[in-house]
Amino acid sequence: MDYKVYAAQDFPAYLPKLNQLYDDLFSGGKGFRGKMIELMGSSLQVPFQTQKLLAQTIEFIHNASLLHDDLVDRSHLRRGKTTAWLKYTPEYAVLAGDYLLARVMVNLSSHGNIHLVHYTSQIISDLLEGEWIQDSLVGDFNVTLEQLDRVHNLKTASLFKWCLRSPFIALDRRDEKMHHMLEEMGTILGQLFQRSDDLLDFDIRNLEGKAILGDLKSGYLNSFGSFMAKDLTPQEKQKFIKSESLVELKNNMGGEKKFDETLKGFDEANQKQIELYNHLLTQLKAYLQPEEYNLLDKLKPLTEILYWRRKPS
Amino acid sequence: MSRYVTFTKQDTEYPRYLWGSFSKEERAIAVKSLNVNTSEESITFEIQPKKNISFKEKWIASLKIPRLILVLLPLFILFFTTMRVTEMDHPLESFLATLGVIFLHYFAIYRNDYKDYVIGTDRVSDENDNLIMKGYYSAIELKRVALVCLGIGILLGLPSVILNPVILPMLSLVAVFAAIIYSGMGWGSKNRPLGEFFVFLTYGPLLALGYQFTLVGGYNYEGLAIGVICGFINLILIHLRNFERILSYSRAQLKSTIVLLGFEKSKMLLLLMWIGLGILFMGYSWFFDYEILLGSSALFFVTSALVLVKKLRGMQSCIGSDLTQLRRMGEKFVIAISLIWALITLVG
Repeated sequence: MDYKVYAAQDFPAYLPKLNQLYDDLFSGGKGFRGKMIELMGSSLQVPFQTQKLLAQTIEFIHNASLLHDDLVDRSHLRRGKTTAWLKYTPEYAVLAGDYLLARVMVNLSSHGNIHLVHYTSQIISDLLEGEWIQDSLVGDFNVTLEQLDRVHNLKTASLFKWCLRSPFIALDRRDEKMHHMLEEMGTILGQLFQRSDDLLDFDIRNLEGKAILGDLKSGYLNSFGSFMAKDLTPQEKQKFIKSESLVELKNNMGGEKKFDETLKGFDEANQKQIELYNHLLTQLKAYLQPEEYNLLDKLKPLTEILYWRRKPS
Repeated sequence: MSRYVTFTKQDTEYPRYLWGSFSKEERAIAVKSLNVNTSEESITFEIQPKKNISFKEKWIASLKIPRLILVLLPLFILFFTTMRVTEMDHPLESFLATLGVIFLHYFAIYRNDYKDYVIGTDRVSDENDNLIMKGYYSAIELKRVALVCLGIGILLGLPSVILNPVILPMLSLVAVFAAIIYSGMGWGSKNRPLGEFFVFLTYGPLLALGYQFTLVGGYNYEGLAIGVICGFINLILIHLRNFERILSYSRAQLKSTIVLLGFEKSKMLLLLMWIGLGILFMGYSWFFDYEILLGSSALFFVTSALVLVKKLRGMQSCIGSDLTQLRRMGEKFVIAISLIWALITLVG
């Protein structure tokens, strides 16, 4: 599904460089969130045009955040390419992100579902709050995993919650209990995804070849870093955060064996979250029609994809 | 493999799992609570074998020593300052009443843990030291322990009340305020400035005056001053704790003073309150002629205020380790000035 153009006014050709900037950004992306919408939409019999709108909405919100994020972090690469602010200008990067968010609001409000507009606005607000707060944590090497979870709940999980809830809202199915449950499931998915992403920084299941120790060197202690650091003495922590390479980091932690044990503990904690997600999934069945039960089979493997980064067995 | 079960309030099994009375070998840890405190509440429990908790670990956790110090401090100070100017009419009864106050304090905090767990306040946030959420007790166990503490507290205090019936109105007032604070209603200490004021009163002037009555059947202005200072200390600690949780409390729309003020103004409030406490200390020392305390508290508060200013200036995030460090620093300052005060009081 091509999300770029939903309405005729999306991405007018008279705006110089905007289309090129968008194509640069979107190509190379997995479009995972858009695919989640398709997955939900097909099982729930959401009309195709509505699915397209929802997919565009979430991908635009996500990519707007990436455009702004890369400028805030002064990142040079995104999806293997030069970041937008560097290739074009910082001003264009900011404006392009704003443009995507504006188109989201225009298209959603034209669609007419006020609950969807309201919920999407809330999610964008949560996302921005999460970005703001995360920026304030740079340099804080004593931040706890629980504190980071709060930030990730706003920043990362909010989009996954939206993917689960918006198709139901689009169909005017607003059972409060069901939506609370979907919120909890979205929180878990977002947390798992973020923690898996954070593991890449330490070359764990790093199939994408992401830069090693990029977060740490930027002054940011991510979730796995925080998990590793919590039992270190202040002196050990100083060495830990100044590590220049993964080998040095493992040595500063007490060796490869200690590192592997810590990783095992982290994986076990997240496996518990996966089991909780599966339990909530069984509870979700009560809110579905029989012809929608296949949705549960589609949602179940998401945790394996998002956390273990593998195709479901 | 973890085992999860979900119950709604309509399920017959719901209370047994919530209270922990469903099994002798296993315990149910509430991991997800939805629609909290409504008729449609549902809770997902993780079933775990009852962990072997050592007696020592359980009792250290149950003592909640930092909070105990806050109750013992006014009792200790009051006892020695009051005895300096008068004699106890009934020393044994006064001693029993002192123990009674401590047991009533534990009744209040255990009851609070039980209530916050059952209502759900502590189930939606992991930022608490709730004994049930930590796995030390089931809800039904802690409720029973709280009632035992209440019974012992009343029995120990009864002789003093019989000897000094004039303290009954004051005790009734304390009971009313405590009921409001710990009822879990919107006026509770976590939720409203008014609740915070009730805590100031209950753990401050009312506790001090009530205790003085049990000692000597009367009160003096020094007792009242001690109560005000101790109540103020409690209030500072509440604000420090709420400041540490400003993000989660704000998003949960709990309208404490800290949440209402926001991040930047709260920093100012904490500094002003600390300076205010210093002024109270020095005023008390000067008015009641405690020269050593005047000098030492002046030195202490000037130094600690400078440290506090530096810390607050460097704080840029509404979440993160700085807030925890601030709370711990505040608690250490409180313990330090309490020890100084207690020591000076002891040696006269």
